[in-house]
Amino acid sequence: MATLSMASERVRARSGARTFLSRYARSRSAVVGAIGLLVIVVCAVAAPLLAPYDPTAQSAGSLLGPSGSHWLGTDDLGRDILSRAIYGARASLTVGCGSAALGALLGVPLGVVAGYLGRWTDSVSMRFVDLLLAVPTVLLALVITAVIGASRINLIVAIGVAAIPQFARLARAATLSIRDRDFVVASRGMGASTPDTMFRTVLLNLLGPIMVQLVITASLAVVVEAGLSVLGLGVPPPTPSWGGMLQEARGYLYQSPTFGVFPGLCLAITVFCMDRVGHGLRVAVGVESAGATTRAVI
Amino acid sequence: MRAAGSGRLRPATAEPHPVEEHPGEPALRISDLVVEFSTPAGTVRAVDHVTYQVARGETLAVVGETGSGKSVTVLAALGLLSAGNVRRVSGRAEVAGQDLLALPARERRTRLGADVAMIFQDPMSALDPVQRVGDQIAEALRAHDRALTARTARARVLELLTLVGVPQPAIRYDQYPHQFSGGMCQRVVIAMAIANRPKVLIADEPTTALDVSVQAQILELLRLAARETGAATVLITHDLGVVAEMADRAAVMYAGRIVETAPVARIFDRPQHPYTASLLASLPRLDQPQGRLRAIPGQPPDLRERSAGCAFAPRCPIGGDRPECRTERPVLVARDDGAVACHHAGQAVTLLPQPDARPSVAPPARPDDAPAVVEVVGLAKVFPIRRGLLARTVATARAVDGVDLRIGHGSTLGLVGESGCGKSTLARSLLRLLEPTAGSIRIDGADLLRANGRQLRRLRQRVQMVYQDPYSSLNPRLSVGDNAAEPLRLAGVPRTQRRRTVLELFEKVGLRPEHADRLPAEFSGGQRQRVAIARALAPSPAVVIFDEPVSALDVSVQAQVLNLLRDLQDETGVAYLFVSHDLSVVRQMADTVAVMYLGAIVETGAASQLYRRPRHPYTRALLDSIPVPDPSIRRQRVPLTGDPPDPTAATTGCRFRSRCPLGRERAACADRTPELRQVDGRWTACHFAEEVA
Amino acid sequence: MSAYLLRRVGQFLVVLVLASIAVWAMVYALPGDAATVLAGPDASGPQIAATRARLGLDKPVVVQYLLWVKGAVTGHLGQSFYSADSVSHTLAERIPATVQLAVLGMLLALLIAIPIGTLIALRPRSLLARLLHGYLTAGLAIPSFWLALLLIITLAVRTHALPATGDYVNFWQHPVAALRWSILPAIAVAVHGSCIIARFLATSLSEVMQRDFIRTVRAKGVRESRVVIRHAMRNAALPTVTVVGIQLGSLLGGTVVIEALFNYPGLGRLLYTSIGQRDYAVVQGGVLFVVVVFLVLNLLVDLLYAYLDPRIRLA
Repeated sequence: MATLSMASERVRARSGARTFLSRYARSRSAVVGAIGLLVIVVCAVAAPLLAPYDPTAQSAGSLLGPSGSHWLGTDDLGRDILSRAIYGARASLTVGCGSAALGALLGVPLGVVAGYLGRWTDSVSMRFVDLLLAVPTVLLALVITAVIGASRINLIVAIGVAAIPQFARLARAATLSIRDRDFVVASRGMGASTPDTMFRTVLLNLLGPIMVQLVITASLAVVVEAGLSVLGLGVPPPTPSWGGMLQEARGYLYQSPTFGVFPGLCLAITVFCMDRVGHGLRVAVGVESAGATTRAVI
Repeated sequence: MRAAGSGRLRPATAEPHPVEEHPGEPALRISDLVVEFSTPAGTVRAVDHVTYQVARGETLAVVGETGSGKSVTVLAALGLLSAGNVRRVSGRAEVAGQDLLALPARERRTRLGADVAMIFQDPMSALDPVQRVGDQIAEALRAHDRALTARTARARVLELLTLVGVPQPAIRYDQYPHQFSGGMCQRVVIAMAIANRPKVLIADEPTTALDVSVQAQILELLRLAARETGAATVLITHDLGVVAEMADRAAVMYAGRIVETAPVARIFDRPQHPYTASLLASLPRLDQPQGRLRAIPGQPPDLRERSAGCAFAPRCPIGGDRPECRTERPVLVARDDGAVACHHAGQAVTLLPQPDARPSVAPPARPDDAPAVVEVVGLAKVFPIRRGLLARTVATARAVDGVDLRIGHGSTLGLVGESGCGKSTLARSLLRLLEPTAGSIRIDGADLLRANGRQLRRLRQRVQMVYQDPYSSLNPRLSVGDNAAEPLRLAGVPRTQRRRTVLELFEKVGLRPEHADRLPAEFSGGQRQRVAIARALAPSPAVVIFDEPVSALDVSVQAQVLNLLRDLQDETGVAYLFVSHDLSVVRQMADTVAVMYLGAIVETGAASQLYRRPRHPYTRALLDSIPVPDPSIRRQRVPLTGDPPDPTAATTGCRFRSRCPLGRERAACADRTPELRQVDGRWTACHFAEEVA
Repeated sequence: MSAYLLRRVGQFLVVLVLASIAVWAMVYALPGDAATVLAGPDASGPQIAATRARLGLDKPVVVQYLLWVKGAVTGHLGQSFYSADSVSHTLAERIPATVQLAVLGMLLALLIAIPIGTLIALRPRSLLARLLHGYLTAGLAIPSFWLALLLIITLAVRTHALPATGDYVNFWQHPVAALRWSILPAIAVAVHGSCIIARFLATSLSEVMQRDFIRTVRAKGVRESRVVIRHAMRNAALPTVTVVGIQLGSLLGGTVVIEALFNYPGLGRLLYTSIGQRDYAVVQGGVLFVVVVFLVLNLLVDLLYAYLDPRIRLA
């Protein structure tokens, strides 16, 4: 056949992963964010190896300034601030990632089904989402923890539920935008069942934006968790958490101003790194703007 | 500057301005224009030392495929490139002797809209969605005449709207773009462009986004606009038919350079560049099918890979392996009433199919009594139109309204019609993507609409579809191999067997089997369409539906795909339903043709008969609307008026009545809906078919 | 338009009913019987009995809900056990403070966000845009409560320039004092909000600037300033209105942490303390108020959007 050799002469040979990485690396700040986040994760995982002191040990004098033995000084109970900050990464990361994952797990299927099936399924699910959205995140988490009590798991549940709308709306909008694209129509035309089309063809194409939203939501959840801890409703003491440290520092702003600076810096750096990783992913997977799903003035 | 004071446009009835010829001083002269973009893959030179000029009253067509730089040239010349990664724009762009590129941006802007105006490709997105249409035209006037009062501006806008053929201008003035059809939007954009009587009018693919009948109207209007303003016109297009119809001269661009320029008659008669000649040879013709088209091998150039030699060399049937073509870039030299950039200019003309050498015998017509693979009887699809809070049905749209079709084994039925005529609804009903409201569909004799469960699954394997846009019809997250294997997966074929079938198919459709694991994003449009074809053929279907399969592809690639489809049909004996708005492409492919209008088939019969002697006024008008790539037969045509109709509008009598040149006044057409009846060896739904000659 | 309007109002009513049910049912999720829960942990026998009578706890569930709704509509949300005031009275005392803080914060945020967003969109490569990008990145990364602490440490504790706690002074009566007592919390909430709005505005404006119709306007020879203001801004403002609405909604919902940190006598702190004191009558009333305000605001934003966009208005 004469046409045989014509078409395939020039196919740009690059694997998906390579393209992804090279696009991601195009944003320098995204690379910085990824490295920073990696460091924070290492801190959380290897905290016992890295922390100079037991985070709950009340050895030295209280409210000491930075010194050779305590680089960042000690808190009101004489505990080493650096060690507590290193351990504090654990609470932030587990609650942040856990609740983002929970929100995605519940929100994404809801959004895909609502967007794909439309009609009353869509109306019912979106009214439910509107309902969740109507209560500010912190307030919702506050009420939920008040009802079921504060523990790490409960925090994840509380913040995760509050994150459902973000994922549901994202997944629904993305589903709507590709529902009538030819490859989805083609899938139905070839006789694929509705679940097969929804969760193989459609969902597969939402992974990019969902990944981006996961990181963004995680960063918001970190802040919410810390905010709750500032109110004394976070991970219960004596487990160290950055928000909890800020809450403890509140009473000593006159005596030891530095006490309140470092935990907040840890938070800000974590959120910054996540934000930049989200930005890099967005560029890499070709998702445009994040949209208006962020709402976290607390 | 504006033609001071007297710049007022008169209504169409006024005497046209005499066109002054200034051979010495062109209205627009672009010289040595270079445009470069910086991309992650390095610097890309999109426009490479382009030079052309247009005199007042003259129309220059700039022709080229995707990525040839034809649009970038003018956008750069006018300072309208908005991409952030422009690296370099150099050269001169003189309008009436004044180099726009030498002017500071602010001052250059004041020349736009006054001395040189532009008309864009997609009229729907060319207008600001939140501003009134009339105000947007008035803005063009007031930007150059601060003293203009709102009242005078409005009056002049109403004149302009009348001139460009927008009915009820006083009402239309205050409407928004979304209330306009595509054709009407383009009229508005044209009104804007001619508002200040520019010296140069640049139209960038002005009809590409429009239907055939609307295209004819807009081309007519462009001619009028050029005549009214006496402007020099640059018409950027990929459509050689439009070139032949409209232009005085043509410049052919390839890979950012002009490869040939000459008067239009010369370009079509004696092309000197092998690319020009190959393009002409690869076009499907209206007059008769050509058996195989002479496709240009390969793909349009990738500007990121620049070679030292001629950019066309890798695809060139003449210079392909000659060393000078590979190493030395040919420059534009004067030759035969024009200029050409080729080391072997002059040999190109041999590439044109000689009129007598053209395979005059159409491929043997398939016998009409071949067993029917698809049999559609009385098919109808009615969409309810819901409004209001409770989504009550307030009207219905009869998208398909009683259609009978029959496709024989191994034959091709061409289904032709404008947007909204119901051809896609019909095609989708055959896949049961839509549930028809009435009628029956038989595939291999089995009733598709009654089938369910196992039988439905089996029948679905028998009908496959290839979609219009290869960039959206493949799942971007699956490898092309997995994409092609989808129908087999859904049929429960085990993985290893799927793989084997797909690799065989890839070979058949001209793809490398070793590329099967790559993602669609790595392939060009033409290659993706091959993947889609492989996918359609995977379950060995009885019939494949093609929904505008080549309309998103460049001309040169289009011919490759059409040839491939022919070969595959000869080999496998699969039947095709070929849906398209492009009558030339359908002519190339189809044995039988059905013309659809407002949900019904108005004429159907053997392709050769239908094209030679259309009997329905709509078929006739469609054929007349198509610009033919032959400047020697510029016809005086009667384009259809109005837009393709809205299927929700209830009609009595003949559907086509409102746009029909014959039946508008006749009682019979208003009273009785014409049925398909046998006329002159084909079926036509017109009371006065005998009058159409 | 009217169909859209009706549908949108219909959705609003549905969610309003759902939300009221959720808020009402919240109390039943708590351990113990509703009357005891609502009357507070230290309530006396007669107080519990009064609550029980008001809620009609012996009646069917639907009747109980309707009784509660009737009370809510007429302003009878029960009794705060802690302040010995009616819940509506307690809320009414706090709401002006929160509204003032929210409005001040939002004005401040818009004042920062609009120029920044516009500049970043129009001159993305300029040095100033890069610096402002830095502000956005930092502003989004710094949690508002930490910013609040930093503000307190630097401006209040160290320099005594401003009070370390916030307080509510009616702006219309004593504007200077009102600003003095609420400027720090307002800054703390405004910075984050300004970054969200600015980033969104920048994205949507630069997206609009890439659209085809902008090229058409330029080709008409229109001055660039007019291209931006009359065409690009007009289109970019549409989606931005939504974001501003959501932001304002969450500010009005009470900025719990900020109010708590500054001891600002707003709704957020009231809810926080009430939860701590198990004063569920107040919590229920407060959450209901917040939810209703948010829903109404969203409705207004959507209607405004529909009005501004002819594609919806004339549909």
